[in-house]
Amino acid sequence: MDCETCAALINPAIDGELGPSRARQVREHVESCTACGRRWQRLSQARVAFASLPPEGPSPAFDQRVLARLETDASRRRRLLPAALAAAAVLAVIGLLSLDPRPENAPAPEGMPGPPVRDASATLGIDAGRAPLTASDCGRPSATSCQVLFSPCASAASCGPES
Amino acid sequence: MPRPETDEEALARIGSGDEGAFAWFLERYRARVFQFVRWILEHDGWAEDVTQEIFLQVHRSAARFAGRSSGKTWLYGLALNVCRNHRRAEARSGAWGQAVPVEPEIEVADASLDPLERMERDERHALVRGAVAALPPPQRLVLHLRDWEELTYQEMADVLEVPLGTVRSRLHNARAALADELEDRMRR
Repeated sequence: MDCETCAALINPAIDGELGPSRARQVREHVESCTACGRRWQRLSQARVAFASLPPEGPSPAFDQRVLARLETDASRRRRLLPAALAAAAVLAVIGLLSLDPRPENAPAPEGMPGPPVRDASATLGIDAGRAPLTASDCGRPSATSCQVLFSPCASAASCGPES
Repeated sequence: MPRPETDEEALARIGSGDEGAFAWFLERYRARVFQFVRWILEHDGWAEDVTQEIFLQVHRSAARFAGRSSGKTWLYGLALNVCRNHRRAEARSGAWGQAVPVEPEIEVADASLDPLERMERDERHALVRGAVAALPPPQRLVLHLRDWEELTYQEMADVLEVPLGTVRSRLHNARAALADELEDRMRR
C-alpha cells in the first residue's frame, strides 16, 4: 500500500469502516511508515480530544419550558376540538340538505318541472354525435325503456310491446 | 411503565402518547442536541429556542417514525431541518442576532477528581472547545455525528444529505484541522 492510499484510509480504519483485510493492510503500512504512523497518531488524538469533550447543555429550566409548551399546545387542541367538531357537524348537515331526496327518475309532483334528463351516452360510453340508434341497437324490450336509455331513439315506434 | 431500552422503542412509545418515554428521550439527548444546534447556528441566543422546537417536533412527529433508519439518524435529520428552517426565517425577517444569549448549563464538578485534576481537565476542555470553535460548522457537525453519536459514515451521509465521499473527506479535513488547531494552541 502506498502512502497516498493509506492517508485516505486512516480515518475509516480508526472508525471501523473498513473490512478486516483492508484494515490489516492499513495497520501494517502505518506500523512500517513513519509519516503515516504520525498521521494516524494525529487523527486519533483529534478524535479522542473531541470525544472526551462534554456537551454544554441548555439552561436548567429547559425541560420545564419544553413540557410547558407541550401542555399549552395540548390545551389549545382541547379548546379547539369542540369548535372543530361543531364546524364538521354544520358542514355535514349542509351536505345532507343539499342532496335531492327524490330518486333521479321519479315523476315530478304536480306543477313542478321533472328531473333533468341525463345524457345516458355519457354514462354508457356512447358517442352522442353518431347516427340515431334503433331498437335493434338498444335491444330493450319496450319503447319506454328505449326512450329512457337512448333518447332520442329514431325507431322508438318499432320497439316491441312492453313485456 | 419501564424506561425504554432503545431510541426506537422510545420513539414508538412517544408516538402512542407515553410521556415517560418522552422525558427519557429529552434527558438522553437534551445536551447533545443543544450542542449540535450551537455548532450550526453559532449564536447562543437562538440555540435554546431552536432546541426546544426540535423536541416539540419529536413529540409531534414520533408517531410517523417508521423505523426505516435508526432513531438517532431520524432525530438528527429532524434537528438539521429545524436549524435550516430557522436560518431561512431569520434571514427573511432580518432578526439575526437579536436574541438574548442564554447561560448554558454549568458543568457539574466531578467529586472523584481532586482540585488540581479538575483544573487540568477544565483547561483541557477549554483548549479543545476553543479549537473546535475555530472549525467551520460543517466540520463540527461531522465530528459531532461520528465521535459523539457514533453514526456510521452512511448514516452521516443520510443525515447531512451528502454523498458518502463527502462525509469521508469532510471528516478527514475536520480531524486534520482539529489536530492542527490543538497543536497551535498547545504551543502558545
